Amino acid sequence: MIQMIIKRMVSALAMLTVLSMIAFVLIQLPPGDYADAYAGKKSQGGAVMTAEQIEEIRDKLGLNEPLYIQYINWASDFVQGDFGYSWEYHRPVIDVVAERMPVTLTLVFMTLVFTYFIAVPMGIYCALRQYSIGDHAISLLGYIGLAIPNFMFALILLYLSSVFWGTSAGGLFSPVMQDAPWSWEKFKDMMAHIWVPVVVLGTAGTAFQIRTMRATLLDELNKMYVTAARATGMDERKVIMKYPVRMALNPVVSTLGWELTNIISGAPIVGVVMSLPDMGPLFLNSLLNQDMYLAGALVMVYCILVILGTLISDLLLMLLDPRIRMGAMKA
Amino acid sequence: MNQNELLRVEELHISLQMDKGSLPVVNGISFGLKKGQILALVGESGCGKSVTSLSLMRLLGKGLEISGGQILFRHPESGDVTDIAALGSNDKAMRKLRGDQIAMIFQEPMSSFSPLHTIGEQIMEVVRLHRKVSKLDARKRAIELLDKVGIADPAQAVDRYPHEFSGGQRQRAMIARALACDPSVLVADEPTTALDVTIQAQILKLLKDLQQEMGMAIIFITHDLGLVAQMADEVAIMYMGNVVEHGATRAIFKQPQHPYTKRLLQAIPRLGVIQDKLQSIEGSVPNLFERPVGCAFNTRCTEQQRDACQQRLPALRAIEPLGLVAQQGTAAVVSNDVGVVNSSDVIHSVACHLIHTEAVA
Ligand SMILES: Nc1ncnc2c1ncn2[C@@H]1O[C@H](COP(=O)(O)OP(=O)(O)OP(=O)(O)O)[C@@H](O)[C@H]1O
Ligand code: SF4
Ligand SMILES: [Mg+2]
Repeated sequence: MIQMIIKRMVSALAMLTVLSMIAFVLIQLPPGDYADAYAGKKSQGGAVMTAEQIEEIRDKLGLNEPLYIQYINWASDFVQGDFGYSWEYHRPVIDVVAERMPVTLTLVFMTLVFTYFIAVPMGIYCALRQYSIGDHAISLLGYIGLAIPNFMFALILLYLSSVFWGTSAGGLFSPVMQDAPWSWEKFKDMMAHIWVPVVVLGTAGTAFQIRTMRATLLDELNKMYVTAARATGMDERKVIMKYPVRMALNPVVSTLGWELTNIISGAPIVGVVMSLPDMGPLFLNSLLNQDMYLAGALVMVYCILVILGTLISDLLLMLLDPRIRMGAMKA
Repeated sequence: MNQNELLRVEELHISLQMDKGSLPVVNGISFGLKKGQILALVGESGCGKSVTSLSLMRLLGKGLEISGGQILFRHPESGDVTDIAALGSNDKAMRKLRGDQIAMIFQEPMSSFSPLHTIGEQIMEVVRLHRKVSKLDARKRAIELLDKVGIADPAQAVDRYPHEFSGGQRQRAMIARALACDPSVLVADEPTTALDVTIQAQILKLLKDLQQEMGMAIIFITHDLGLVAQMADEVAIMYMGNVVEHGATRAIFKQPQHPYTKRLLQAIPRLGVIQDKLQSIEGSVPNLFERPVGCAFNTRCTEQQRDACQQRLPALRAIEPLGLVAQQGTAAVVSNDVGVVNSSDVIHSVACHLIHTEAVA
């Protein structure tokens, strides 16, 4: 078991290493380098840098080293928390990211909670009341939820909220709280606003998970072990919750990592459309402005989140299913 | 209901509910089960054996409903009689009987346990549902039961998961689970069909031994008449949701009356007899939508049929004593030859127009 967990972690680390290389290539991708960009910025201000001066910067920054040395330098800096410098914000990338990260994490976490807390009970309901009006209604809503792209959904909600409540659903804070430092009050304010992007981000996933839960539970309900459990004299409700529902949860749990990927890849666009103070708009701007250290760092952060999510979902599944747990032990 | 009967199924009808009306699956079946006896329900696939056995515990699947008749159960201690057919499937009274008085083992040992819970937990659960015992005592009981059904090293096995058991071991564990509360009736629905032959023999022997030791009555369901001789005291032959012949095992094997029973007996592969091809019964069971009018067997019956065969469903009736049946049909003459007077207290009855020409309306 422990061995297996370690194995998974090692493979997650390997995955991260590969991804970091991709992120690094991304950083290197735009024509010119940091020194050129620096010179360009300077010249806009009227100061002219000589070729020697630029070369000097290159030397200082190690930009003349072979690519793999540069990668190692960048990676080891990254591990130590030095993500490079953001040209756009004139601050270390780590500071910029750190400022936005809590909001993104909260948003992602809340969306996951929303997705599963709605999807699991609804999936159970639909399976137990197959073909009832409620089942059909939920299916219909689900199709709509799956069909509407997130940005469209966000726009619709923004429009509706300004028409009906006269307030903007954009952003995450009331104007008073906008620039206030983090406090309990500010957190509560965020919670009051965050549900809008959570709903936008979570609806498609929720619809999908309802369908998964419904289909697997319907499948499980027909299995012999359910009848065998009923034959013990257990109450019907208890039978359902203890056996088939428990079984049907496994595929739902195993999609956790994948669901997280969906949410994370959907988040930037929703963040931009709803002008949230999270990493989304930051990511878009960094790409537009070729602020590549920031972009690379953000890609890494997103990847780390996804890999962590997958790792957690694998471990959860091992915890839930003895067959997987023991298969893992033997392997 | 006789005094010595634990269970009496009387004119039980079960039908499949569909958008356009309902379809009879079990069509007025009747049989009784005596204390401590093994009754075999035998018939080809699809004749309603599983549906009948599930209905005894009100565990019928979606769409199937009891549409008439009674299932009377006599509580062995108090003597109270309950009509199970009149209870709701999740009623407390029904749940109190299930697992405690009436227990069941199924055809598929591979899937009758939840793969996510240990064997022990699933046995302890039944014990704790019906007996006020501590977790520790329930566990002790589970270990004891596993030992009883011949699981090696039961103290270890109790914490294992179903996937760590072989098919035979799982069926043993299933038997342990069913016997956890000392039921008075055990329904065994083709308990060995999914197992290979040597394991099959072991499981049957185990069932028989446990029956002798614990004294429960067993309804043993099978499509294999060959297994019946060694297992059952009484046999009920089923065809399309009816009992067509019922009697003591010896009587059924020695003096089969119903054309269907005879054909089933001929189809048993015999040791030492080289057969050109495995004999099986010609034709196939009509599907539920094409239930024949009159006797359900009339599409396959090769006897000289009578008009009544196409008109009325023959009732299950005791074979008349000598003399009365003598002048009727060939089947009756055969029975006359071997002297069908019921040797045991089990009444031999048959549902066939050849045997009971209706003197009475
Ligand atoms: N849940 C169900 N829904 C619809 N039809 C059913 C259902 N269960 C059984 N049937 C039908 O009822 C009839 C009797 O089925 P049953 O399972 O009792 O047969 P059986 O005698 O046990 O056969 P086998 O030897 O194959 O187990 C069959 O025609 C079957 O198709
Ligand atoms: S009633 Fe008629 S059709 Fe049915 S088994 Fe007897 S002889 Fe054959
Ligand atoms: Mg069956």
